[in-house]
Amino acid sequence: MDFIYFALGKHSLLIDINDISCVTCSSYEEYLEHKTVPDGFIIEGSSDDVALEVLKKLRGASDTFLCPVFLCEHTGKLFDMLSDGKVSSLEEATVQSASLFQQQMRLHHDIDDYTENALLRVLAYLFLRPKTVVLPFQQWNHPHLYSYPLLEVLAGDEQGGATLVATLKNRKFITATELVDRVRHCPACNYAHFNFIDVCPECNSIEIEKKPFLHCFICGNVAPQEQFMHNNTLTCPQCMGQLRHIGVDYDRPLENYICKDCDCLFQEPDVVAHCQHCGKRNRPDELMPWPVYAYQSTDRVTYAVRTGEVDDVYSLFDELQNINPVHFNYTVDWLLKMCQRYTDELFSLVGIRVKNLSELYKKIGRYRLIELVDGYISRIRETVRVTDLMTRTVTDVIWILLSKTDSSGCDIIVSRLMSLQSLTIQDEGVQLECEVVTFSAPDNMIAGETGEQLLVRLEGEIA
Amino acid sequence: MILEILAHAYHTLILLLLSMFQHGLELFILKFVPFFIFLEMPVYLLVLIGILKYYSKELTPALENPAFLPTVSCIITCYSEGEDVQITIRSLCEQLYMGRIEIIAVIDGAHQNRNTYSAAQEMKAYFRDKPRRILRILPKWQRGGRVSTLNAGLQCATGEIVINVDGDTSFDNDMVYRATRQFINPNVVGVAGNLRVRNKNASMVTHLQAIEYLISIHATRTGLSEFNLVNNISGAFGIFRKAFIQKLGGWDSGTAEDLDMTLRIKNYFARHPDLRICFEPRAIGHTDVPTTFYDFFNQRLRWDGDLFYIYIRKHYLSFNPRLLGWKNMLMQLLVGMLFQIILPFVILFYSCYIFAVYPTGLVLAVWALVYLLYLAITIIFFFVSILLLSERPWQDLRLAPYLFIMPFFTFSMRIWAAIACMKELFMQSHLDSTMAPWWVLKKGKF
Ligand SMILES: [Zn+2]
Ligand SMILES: [Zn+2]
Ligand SMILES: [Zn+2]
Repeated sequence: MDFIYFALGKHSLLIDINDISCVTCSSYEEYLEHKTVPDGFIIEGSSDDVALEVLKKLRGASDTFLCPVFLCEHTGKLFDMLSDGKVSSLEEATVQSASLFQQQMRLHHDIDDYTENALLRVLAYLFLRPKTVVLPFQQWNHPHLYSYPLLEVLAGDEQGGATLVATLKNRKFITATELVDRVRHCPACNYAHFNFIDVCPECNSIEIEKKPFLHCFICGNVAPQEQFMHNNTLTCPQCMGQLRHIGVDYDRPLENYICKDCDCLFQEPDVVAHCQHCGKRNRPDELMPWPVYAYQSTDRVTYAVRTGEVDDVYSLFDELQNINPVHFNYTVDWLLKMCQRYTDELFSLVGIRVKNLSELYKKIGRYRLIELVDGYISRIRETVRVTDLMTRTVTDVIWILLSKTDSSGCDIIVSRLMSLQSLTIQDEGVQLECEVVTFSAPDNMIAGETGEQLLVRLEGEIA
Repeated sequence: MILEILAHAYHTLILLLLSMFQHGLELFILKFVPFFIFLEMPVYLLVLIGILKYYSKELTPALENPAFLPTVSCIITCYSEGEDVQITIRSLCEQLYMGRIEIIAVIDGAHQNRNTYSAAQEMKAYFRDKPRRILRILPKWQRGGRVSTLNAGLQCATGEIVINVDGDTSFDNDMVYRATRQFINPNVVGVAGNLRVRNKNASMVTHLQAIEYLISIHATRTGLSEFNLVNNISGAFGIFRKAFIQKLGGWDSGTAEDLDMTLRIKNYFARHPDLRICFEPRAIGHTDVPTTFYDFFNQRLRWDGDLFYIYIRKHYLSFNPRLLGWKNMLMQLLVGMLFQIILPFVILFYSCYIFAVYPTGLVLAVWALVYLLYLAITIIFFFVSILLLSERPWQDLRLAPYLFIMPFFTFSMRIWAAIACMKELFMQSHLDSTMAPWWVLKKGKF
């Protein structure tokens, strides 16, 4: 076995052990000059920042991301997430690496596969370390407040790994184990940075003030208490009546606030969530709740890594510029609420399930299927408008949300989509066979049904 | 038969009134007006003079020191008031007084009176954004009676001034300010607060009590206060200098602890003639009174019995000029003993006597005369109160129709007081006074 020993600062490790070759480097650049890939790494010394930088580079490179990387003294959440733990001697490092090496034999990908496919890198890593928990990391300056550093580093994803989490989750490679937090995202820009401000419910001004108010029972006047006070007695400024006993002559009204801009009195200010990124002012209930989970890999990872079939055929449809299913659910829910509130609001929903995809996969092979699906997808894109939203769920239903479209408009779209099917006839006489379900609001609305309930109900009709 | 007697009585009354002009006033008075009225007259006159004195002082009010803002502790004795206690707490919290007010709700028998306790607890939220207002809730799980409730409150009071109030009494928003003005004078040790009837529109008997409170508390005590002769600091609403009552050892006695406290303060008057107990008519509390005649007479049976007990059994030694000073002793004798204890008996016996001796027509005529006399006195006091004292004159004026019933009401109260004293004398009823359980009384010094 051979190790690269990053002695970044002081060294303490006894490295002269027989039949273990160990090269000492003082920086990542020095390691690169060696041009050899060792069996493992040990990092010691220097500041956390420098050590973390080296660790991230090792996990990000397609030739070293699977290697065991041990630490000697550095601790912290990020080190725990990215490294293989702490060792106190080279021997210990060898022992701990052994099981990893054994597993690694079972992988049959070469380095080019890994360089091309970020998803494969993640899966291989999870395969070798099945106990890994993919943990969210709280980061105040991250757009979503949480990132997944392991996925971020492995996939070279600057966006914090959120899309990769969605992909892994949709394909059931990972499963949520623990709800760590719940953040809220701006529906306009998806950022999670807000300033919550109290505003006047009448004119939305932020110039409001909390003051004690009094309500004169003699004439009904409501005014700030200070206007009533005259040397230790209360006199109504409007009717000049003496107010002596609370609850009898006067009381505290429910109104507590005054707007300095429009002079109106109100009980409770409206709260507005002001997005610090795009500047949109949202009502708090408009924000998209976003659960943050810790994840664990499933046995699908083993299957995928050992067969090399990382792609699932349905993921071909991800070319549709889909939005995230959670976001889609949320939008449907919101539109339903809008339809309940405003009569002029309407929208339609089309669900498509391709029944015979795996059958086609077997009959015409991967590459022709890709061609077929690509063609179908570009036609769907031509059919719908840019403003229509699409998503593909875990259960492989493609949903199209047609905004401002009633049931007759929806029928036109569906008939076009159905006619597209015939364009996919192959020489073998097979074609894409789709089943379609439609829904139009407000016509088909069931009172009290949420967006999620609706989608589940519709999905049942094309199962 | 009855009509005949009434007709006869009417004729006799006319004859009597005519004879007043034929035989001269003195003779008429000596002959027919019951003598006890002559005992009351000087007191009424004294009170009227006192009211005029107060009124003339108020025309040119002395400068008050608005910066005198001692911390005030209000001890609320709560029992089974339930949610009504919230009105009390709220009216204290909403005082316009700029100083600190500490509100101590002592709940006696908090175990049985759960809803009073939780009603008080609910008020804690109300104090959250109220500066200089503190609410303390002191549950006494075991029922211990009024005195132990008051003393428990006194023990944790931090204020310089202590106000003791009942859980069914609420206050005008300038009460604390007005009450504390009296204590600018360092010789003032106790102030009696003014009580009004909160539920006066509930029934006839509450209307009558409203008039009674207006005349016997508002007017009478204003008058007596001018001569440092306040006869009692009511248990429902009294204001004290804490250091002084702590020196007295707090409240004592299982019954009528308010009168007991007043008398014990007064026992210092001969040695310290500068000390004062006064009445502040503008420190106003509103209290609930019994709404039925049955409840009313039951309440008075208790009060008058307690009064008798305090005067006759506990404080007979106090009727000593070396303790009270001559003036106060005379007044205490006159107001306390005479009005409250002797007069009821005199009236009772006099009534029985004339019914036995004189013909019915004459008796009724004499009573009609007495009625007119009392009515006149009541009307004079009523209007003097409204014109010179009342801060709610229009509201009080609506009580006027009930003035005509007042003499009957006063008369029956007097008779009832005599019965209460007799009950106390023969049955020692104070031992089963509902305000304190028997074991508390047994342990007491008296
Ligand atoms: Zn406004
Ligand atoms: Zn008014
Ligand atoms: Zn935004």
